[in-house]
Amino acid sequence: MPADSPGHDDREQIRQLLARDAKACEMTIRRYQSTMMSVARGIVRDTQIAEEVVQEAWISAFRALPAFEYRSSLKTWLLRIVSNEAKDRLRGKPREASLEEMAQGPAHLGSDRFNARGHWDEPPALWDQNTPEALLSEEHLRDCLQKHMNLLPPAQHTVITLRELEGLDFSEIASQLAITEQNVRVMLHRARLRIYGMIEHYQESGEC
Amino acid sequence: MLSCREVNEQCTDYLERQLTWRGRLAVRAHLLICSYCRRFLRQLALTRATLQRLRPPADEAAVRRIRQAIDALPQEPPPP
Repeated sequence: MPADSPGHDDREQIRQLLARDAKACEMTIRRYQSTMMSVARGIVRDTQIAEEVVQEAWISAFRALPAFEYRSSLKTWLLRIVSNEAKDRLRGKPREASLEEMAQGPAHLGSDRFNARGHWDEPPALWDQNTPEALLSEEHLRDCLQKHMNLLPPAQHTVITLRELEGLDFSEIASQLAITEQNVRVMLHRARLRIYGMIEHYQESGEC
Repeated sequence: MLSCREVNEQCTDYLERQLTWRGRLAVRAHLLICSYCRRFLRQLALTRATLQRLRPPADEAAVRRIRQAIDALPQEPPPP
């Protein structure tokens, strides 16, 4: 069975959504809202337009739900709807500067961290916590992570959200954003290094 | 032998198993002798794992707005 197939949970959830079960609708909207927003913003690069796109996508999704064919997971289906809505919005208004945005940030942790021979000049600091739970148990660090995620260029935010939070593979992310897998890898790499740098800074200074 | 900077540049591809076997071997050979790069890679993997558990707070106003829009849609009759 492909990884993307709808599971039993999806079927139950879709049944409840079709019945407009208030709790199920609320839960589903809460679960996917921020990821859908990230996808829309990564494509249209404007928060206000992205909000409209996401709202339209939800309406389209609920309208189309009776015809859901269980060929993909509910998540992938919802994300495709929002990315298509976003791409439709862009028609006639080609987006600019996506390559610039892609390359935003260095390909490594920072030039000042390495000497001329490419060895560590300022080696990575050892972190106090060594599990995700320990890192996330610190409220300030959690808020700081959230803040820095939101400061990423929109398309980098989308790529890291789809990869880390949603577990999508490179080809699915590339198709959602209509970019190449190579570009997905470049953006993911830069976004991860930025977040790494933020945690390191927090570990050293205690500040966001 | 790869430099630390080169390992740094390839760390995402290494973690995501996107390198050729030759490229992967080169990173591993470097890691065997470089504790700083081992530390960096371990902490980068920890960064990933942490992000995987990060759930952004829901935008309450947006959730409310979408709920209202959905509630206003006519409901299809349930399938027979």
